Amino acid sequence: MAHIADGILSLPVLATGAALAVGLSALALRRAGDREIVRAAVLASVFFAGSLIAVPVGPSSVHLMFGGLMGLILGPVALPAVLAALGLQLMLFGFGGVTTLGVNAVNIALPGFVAALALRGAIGRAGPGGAAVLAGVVSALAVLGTGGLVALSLALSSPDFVPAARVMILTYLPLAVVEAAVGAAAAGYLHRARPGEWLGQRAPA
Amino acid sequence: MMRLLALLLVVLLPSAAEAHRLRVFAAAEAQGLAGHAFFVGGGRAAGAALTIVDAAGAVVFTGTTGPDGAFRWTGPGAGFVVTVNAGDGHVATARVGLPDVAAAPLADPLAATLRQEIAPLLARIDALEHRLWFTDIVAGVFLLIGGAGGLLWATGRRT
Repeated sequence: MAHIADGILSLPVLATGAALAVGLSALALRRAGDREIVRAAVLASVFFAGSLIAVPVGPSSVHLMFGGLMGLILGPVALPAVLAALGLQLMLFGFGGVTTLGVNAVNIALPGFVAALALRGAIGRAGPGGAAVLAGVVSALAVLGTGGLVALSLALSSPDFVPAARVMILTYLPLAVVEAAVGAAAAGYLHRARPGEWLGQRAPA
Repeated sequence: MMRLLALLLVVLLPSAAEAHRLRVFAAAEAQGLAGHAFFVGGGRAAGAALTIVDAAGAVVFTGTTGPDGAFRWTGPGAGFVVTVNAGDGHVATARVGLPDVAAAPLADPLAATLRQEIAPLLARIDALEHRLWFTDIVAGVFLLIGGAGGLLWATGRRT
């Protein structure tokens, strides 16, 4: 699904994805503190293992991506976390491709980061129930954003993919519902276990 | 957080036999070829676009895989490239009898029988080569955690 293989995307799409992934990762890591690095490793592990479980849907297969959750907890560091996890999935299992690593990482991490950025303030102010619901919304938006970006990557590369890309967005809808449930459950737990700290903020000293 | 992670790992790892890479397995038959498309570790790719190109580069068949991801094509020739496209960035190709297997041995009845007998074995080997190994998954998780530790150590800060 979001693991686009080598030899499909056109050079401009690949180059843009790689440049965005490297540039934004470098920026994010430069600003990241110790806590962010540890959190990034934990969530990268969750993404790495969790996204290995795929369910066949028609000619394709879908898996959880935790994009919204990573955006909420990690902020911009979600991108290097996804990049590291995708790199390992490529090395160990051959998922995705070397040239598409950047595009895939941006497709997965960026929508979650943007959605989290938009709703973070509201989540911070909300009660436990409200925070869980809003985190679910962020997770769903992240999945739909990823679906849109994957479709866009394919459509920009070759017009042959346009009908397929349209069908593919439909497979993302059930996934968005499942991700919303997972995101809401995780956020509800974090809101109780780590109040005030899990939204990428430092714990009050 | 750690409790949540532990819970996630316990829930996810034992069932992590499903995954995410399209593969196509194809074996030559007496006339033509047969095989199936699957995602590494799990589900078959049903209804995916299928193209068979012969040794000369001419497209001899276009269609889709069956409900169980399988396909069979009958026709002359000895070398083919099979391509399966799930339509969303998952594409896989397999080469059958290129270029060392000539047409002559295929016509030999003994060779044809042998070919038929070993086809399930070849499919089994292909499936074993392309499954997810639990040790690889655990290695990946700990590489990520170790990488973060290394990064923290290299930057010389304390958590």
